[in-house]
Amino acid sequence: MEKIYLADDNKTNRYVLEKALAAAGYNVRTFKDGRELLDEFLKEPPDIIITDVKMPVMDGYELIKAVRADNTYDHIPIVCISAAYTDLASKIQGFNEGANDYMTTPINEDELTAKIKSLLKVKDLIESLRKSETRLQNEKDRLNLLLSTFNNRENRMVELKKEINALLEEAGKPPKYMQ
Amino acid sequence: MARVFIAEDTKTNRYILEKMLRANGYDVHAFINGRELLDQFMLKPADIVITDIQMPVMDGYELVNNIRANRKYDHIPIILISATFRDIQSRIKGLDSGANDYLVAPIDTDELLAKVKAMLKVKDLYENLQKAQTELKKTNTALKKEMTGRKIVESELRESEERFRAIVENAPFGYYRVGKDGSWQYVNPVWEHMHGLLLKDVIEKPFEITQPEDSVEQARELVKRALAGETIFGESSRLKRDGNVEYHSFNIQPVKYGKKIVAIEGFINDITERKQAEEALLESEEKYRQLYESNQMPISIFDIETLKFLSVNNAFAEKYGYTKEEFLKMTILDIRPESETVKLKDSVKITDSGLTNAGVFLHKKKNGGIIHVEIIRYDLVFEGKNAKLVFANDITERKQAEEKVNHLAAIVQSSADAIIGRSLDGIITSWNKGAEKLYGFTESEVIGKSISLLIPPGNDEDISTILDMIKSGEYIDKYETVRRRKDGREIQVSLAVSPILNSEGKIIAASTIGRDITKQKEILAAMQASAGQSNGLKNLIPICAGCNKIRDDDQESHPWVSPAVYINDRLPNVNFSHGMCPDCMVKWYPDFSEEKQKK
Repeated sequence: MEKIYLADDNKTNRYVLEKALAAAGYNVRTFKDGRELLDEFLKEPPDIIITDVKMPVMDGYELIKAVRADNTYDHIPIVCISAAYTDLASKIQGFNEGANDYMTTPINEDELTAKIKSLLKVKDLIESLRKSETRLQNEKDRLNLLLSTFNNRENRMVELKKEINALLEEAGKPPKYMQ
Repeated sequence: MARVFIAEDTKTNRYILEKMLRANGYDVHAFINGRELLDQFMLKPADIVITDIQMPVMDGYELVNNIRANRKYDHIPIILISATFRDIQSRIKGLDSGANDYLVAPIDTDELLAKVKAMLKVKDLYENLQKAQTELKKTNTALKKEMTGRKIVESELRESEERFRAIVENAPFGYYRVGKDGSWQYVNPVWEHMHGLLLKDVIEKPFEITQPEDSVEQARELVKRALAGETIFGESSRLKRDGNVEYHSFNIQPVKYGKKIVAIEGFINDITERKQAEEALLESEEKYRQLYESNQMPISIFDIETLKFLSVNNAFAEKYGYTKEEFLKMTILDIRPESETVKLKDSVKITDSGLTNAGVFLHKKKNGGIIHVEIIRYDLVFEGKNAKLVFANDITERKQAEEKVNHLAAIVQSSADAIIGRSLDGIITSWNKGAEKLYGFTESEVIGKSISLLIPPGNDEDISTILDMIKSGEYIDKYETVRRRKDGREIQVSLAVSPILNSEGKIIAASTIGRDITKQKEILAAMQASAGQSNGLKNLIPICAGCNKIRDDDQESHPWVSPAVYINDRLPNVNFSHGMCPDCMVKWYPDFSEEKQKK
């Protein structure tokens, strides 16, 4: 079950959205402001973040900036929701900070769910790529390690063989005065 | 530059969108319906698709479905735009069909641009990941391929490692391995034997325990150097309990895994026998050198190719009068007369097997003197060159002596006196012309026969008498006896017999000089007869009491001549008186003659 972190200072909005998303089958956790969400995010990141823009302590923009600061989380979709900042400049700022969508009230729950679905699909795509990248990277490291071990052993054996041959040759030779 | 595909059937909208996006730096391709966009998309996909929903031929939903049908294009963002369907249901349908956003006209261009930018960012993220993954897959495939090769090498390695272990176990030399911490890790059986210690005695114990007390510090130093990466070769000797010295050659080298030194190892070889042999060799080489240098026989060594002298000994230098330094700049041709050059060159070509007498050659000394040299040669390799060792035996004196002997033999052979050589048991060994004339036998008739051939019957004791006298070392001068000729006639002979000695002074044979004195005897008999008959002393001729020579008074100088010369024509007219020739006078009365001379 995908996990959604939701930040909104307005209790009613929080409640409505949480209920709607839970009904759509998501595991939702709500936070009063950006800071609270970020604290939890750093402990255990969700699959998607939905955040109000205007909030005390840490607003939506700051939250987005903080989340996007770490490359590891640049694929986690963030959707901004705002009743207060519905103007174009606010929206563009949201996108520029790294939001994937910016919705203004009134919010249609079904539209939100459809968008979440679409965003999660892309997120899954990227995650599966990341996962297989990690797997491939590990495999590469393992192969490289094995190869270098082989190389060392091979060098060592070649050297040993050389020495053995030199010694056998020396041992088989008549003493210097007979040469 | 990101490729943006736009599908819009309304010309004005299409134009506005296209212009706006192009102004923002996008590579924009505009199409009048979904079908056209899709056709182009299939040829070369766009980075982002913006499409109207309501269009002829192929509408927006259908286009989205077609694009999403291929999983390859899952990540390409699609934005639906509609002026007609503004209701929520349509928007949800659009999003559900696979579009990433659904915008409703009128469209705010800045918002659209911000969305396009955000979507392209995600798409780039995806594509970069995909690219990195493709690279990784390629790398890993290459690595896996390499591994397959390595696995074969690995099994070969394992095999050769086992072989190495077997070699080390059965090696004729000692092998050891000491860990980085300085403790024994392994020693092979030869090492065990050399040190009188077993692997289990030393394993995991510090390496110092096997070192003699006086060399512990040295060993520590060597181990330190090897652990620092140095490979060291050396020789060591140690006094054994039985008083003999044992020599070892050894090496120490670091054992590396990668660049890390994890241990040291090395080999140790007992070279006592070799050392002893080397010492013995040096000794015997010195012995031979002395033998060569101080040998009385002139010896030289020359190069067969260049004929240059490679070495000469003292006697050789002295014999020819050059210094050793001069010789080393000369060839063997320089000590030959020119007449010998061809003979020499031919002779040098012959390969000798062992010591070979090459014959006698003429050699020229520095002072120009020519000497006869008997050459004894021996082929050898000297200082890496094919050479001949030459013993040069100067036989000039021997040659001269031989010539003297030959000369004497010629004299003997042609002497008028009969000269016979005989062995002590009476066998005739030589027979000259005079003997042939006197006895009538030719040389071939008598050689190897007994001297008794010449003895008339009844005179046998003669031989033993002579033999006894010879054996006692006496010279017999004037032994008068009778001999028998081949024709049976007996003749009076005077024999002088002398012993022949060998180099040790032992009598081995005798030579007899015989002279026919038959005539002489007859004269004497006649003289005695006439002395008895005549009384007068007229015409008295002195006859030497010593040698029977007669003074020839008819000649002015009165020489003393052999009676044979004289008697033949004058015998009937003379009487003899006793006298003595000057030779016999000197011989018999040396005092008298000296006094006479004084007077």
